[in-house]
Amino acid sequence: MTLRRQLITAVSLLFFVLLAGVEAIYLFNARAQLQQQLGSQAQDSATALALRLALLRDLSDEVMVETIVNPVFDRGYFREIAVVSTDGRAVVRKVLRPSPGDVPEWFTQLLPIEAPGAQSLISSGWRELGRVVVQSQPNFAYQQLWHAGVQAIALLLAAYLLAIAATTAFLAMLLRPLQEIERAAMAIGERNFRTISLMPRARELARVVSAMNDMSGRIRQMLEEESGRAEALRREAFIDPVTGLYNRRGFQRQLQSLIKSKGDVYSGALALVEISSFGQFNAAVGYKRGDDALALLGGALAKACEGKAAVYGRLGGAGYSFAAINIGTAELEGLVNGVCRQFGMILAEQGAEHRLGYHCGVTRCDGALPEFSALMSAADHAVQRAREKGDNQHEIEAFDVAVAEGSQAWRARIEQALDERRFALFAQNAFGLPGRTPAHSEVTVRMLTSDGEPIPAAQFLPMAARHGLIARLDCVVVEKLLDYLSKGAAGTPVMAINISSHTIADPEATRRILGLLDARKSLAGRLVFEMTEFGAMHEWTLAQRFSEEVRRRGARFALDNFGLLQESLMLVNALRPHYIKLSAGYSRELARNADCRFLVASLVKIARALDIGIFAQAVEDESLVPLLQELEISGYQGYATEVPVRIA
Amino acid sequence: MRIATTALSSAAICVLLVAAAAAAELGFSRSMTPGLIAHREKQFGAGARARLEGWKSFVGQATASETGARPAAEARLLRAVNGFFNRVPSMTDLAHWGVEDYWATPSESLASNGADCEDYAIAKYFTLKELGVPIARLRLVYAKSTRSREAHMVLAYYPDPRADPLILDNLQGSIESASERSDLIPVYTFNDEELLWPQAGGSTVRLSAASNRKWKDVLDKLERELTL
Repeated sequence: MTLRRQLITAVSLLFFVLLAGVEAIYLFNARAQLQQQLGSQAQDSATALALRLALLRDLSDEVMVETIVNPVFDRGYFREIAVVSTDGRAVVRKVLRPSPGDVPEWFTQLLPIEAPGAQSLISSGWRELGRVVVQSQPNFAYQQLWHAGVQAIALLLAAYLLAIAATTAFLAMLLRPLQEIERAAMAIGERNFRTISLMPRARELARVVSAMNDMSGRIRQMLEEESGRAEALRREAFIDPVTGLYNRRGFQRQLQSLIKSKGDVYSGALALVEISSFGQFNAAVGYKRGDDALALLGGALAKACEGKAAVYGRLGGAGYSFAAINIGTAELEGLVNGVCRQFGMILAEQGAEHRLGYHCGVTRCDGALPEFSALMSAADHAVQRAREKGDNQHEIEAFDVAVAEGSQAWRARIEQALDERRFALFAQNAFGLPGRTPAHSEVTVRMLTSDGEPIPAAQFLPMAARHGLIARLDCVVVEKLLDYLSKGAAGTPVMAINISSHTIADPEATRRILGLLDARKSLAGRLVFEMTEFGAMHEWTLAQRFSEEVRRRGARFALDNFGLLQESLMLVNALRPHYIKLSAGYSRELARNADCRFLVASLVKIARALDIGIFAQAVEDESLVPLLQELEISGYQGYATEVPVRIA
Repeated sequence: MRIATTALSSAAICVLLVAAAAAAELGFSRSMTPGLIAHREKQFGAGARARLEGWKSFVGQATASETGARPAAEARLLRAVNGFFNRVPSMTDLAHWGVEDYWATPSESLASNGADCEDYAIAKYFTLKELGVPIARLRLVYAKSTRSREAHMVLAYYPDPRADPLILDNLQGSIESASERSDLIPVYTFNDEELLWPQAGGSTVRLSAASNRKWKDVLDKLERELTL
């Protein structure tokens, strides 16, 4: 019950008691007055009749007695008038039958009016003739009391309603800031450190508001500072100062993240662009102009890649690179031609006399992206071929023809496996720090051949993504996992499951997954849905909606493979993940690289303020664990602890 | 039609009249508390206590000496009570109480040693009641005195309802029957008898006769005297 409702109830009750009291006092007073009036009326009439009857000297003439009584009796105010002689005989006794009035019976029972009677002696001279007995008729009094009571109730009820309306309005005005404060408190509970713009007039509330605003403000400021620091560290480590693009390390980190996002990426291309004779050009025009030329090329690359390539950067010296994913052949050709045309124009302007030129080599993969080094050497090979063709040439090569050719076969195999539900679930524990207690269990899926041999996810996931089967696959995995959990796997920790960006982009699959959660409400609390940073960034709005939907059903949402892309912190703010899993690259670099440690420390601070956990993954070496603990990372996962085990 | 039904009802019903005991013991000499006597003494001086004690012992003696047949015994009581109170000096209310008309209780009249016509009648009424005379036989009578040409009040005693009553008056020492009192014209009579009046359903209702405002005031004062 809200405070407002409680107050209104209390005020209403108070008013009600008060008004009921007023009504009761009014009715009792009116009744007493009426009773007194009836009594005196009866007495007056008895006295008047006695004086009039005394003039008869004798009550033997009954007709005369009745004639005297009639005018008084016929006025209708009396229930009974009797004239009794001294020997106790009723000379005249007139009784008015009580007429059914319009007063309800319960009212006459609730407030009975005792109709008082009166008597008066009749004396003629010294001789007593008898007495007159008069009893009042309470009907008129009841009617008067009833109508007065009804009117009073109507009036009081109107006053009551008016008072309640006024109270409600007054309380609404008074408590409006309180609602605002409550909303802010709930937002802060969800780590949204907003402030309250409204300043209540009540001093107590004003203090609460200013204290909350102050606290929110401080935390927000701390977060902004820390975000700024993280951004600065990110730039220092991963951004090339000359062009503002990714440097080699940044490019490598991002590309590796993409390679790991197997459920999101099903094809890709890596391009290397090499500027020839740049050393001579630099020596001839000076480093300043050389840097200007590099920056121009960088700007041209960024412009050509905008919205088409996933990652681009300067690899050092006069080498540029860009990578596109999930891209068709024609689109890729368009992108490569665009970049080459821009480079050609700039190089012609800057240094025709210095024989500046470019060679562009592209390797294109269908299906899973290979390891970074393999991709790079394939791209290098393509550059070599371009160079052989002469200046300002490009060459696009397929990375592995066999894979592309087997694509249709893969499709059939995956579809068959989906139909037969030939998939196995494996789980690997993530451990919390400090203490190394199991924090959650990450579930991975493997396809089974018809012989029951497991095929690793890296092989079939990109194919499933490419052929639009990943949404179906995710549904099957969620279903199998819920089945497993419902079969009394009570002791197991929370299960984390990967959802592809293709799945949440499919309304049918999203509905199906949320429907599965609705059907197993008690199990929802034991699920964490993980999306890769790349996938969530790619489908920002849908990811936000999906995270809200699963949270509403009691499940949690987390980000996997977090490489700190540009705008990643905004993504974190929008999605409020339960935890973040740093991409494998961080685990490898933490021990070697101080700036990487600084960056992670900064991320940990931000995450803690937002109540978000940070996990390291691919921890292959026990010796890294003390360092993770020192950085106050929430937990880790990797082969150092245990290998994935089959659960279903 | 109306005439017919009312004639029927008047002929058929014979009403049983029962006099109920009116407020018991109010105005009796034995109801005087020590507090009341002390209060009256403080109010009206040293003689008050003696006069009030005198009233008490008078009632005591009258009760003790009372024997014999009823009418004769009641006649003796009437004479004794009439004589006892007529010894109180007569004064107008204006001279005595400073108001036009003041109805005093017996203890007020005796303690202040002064009374007006209604005060005698009231004191005699309560004392006779205390001595066991049925109040149905007693009436307080508003009358006009042709001798003094002013409004007067006397106590009338009816041996039976139709009889010629005996008049206890403060203006003359002896008790005479009404027919002998040609100087008095009676106007209106009352007492504080309560009637049990039969109702249509077989139940009865208690009808008070204490209709007079002044009379009610006297009863209220007597109630308060009990608590002094």
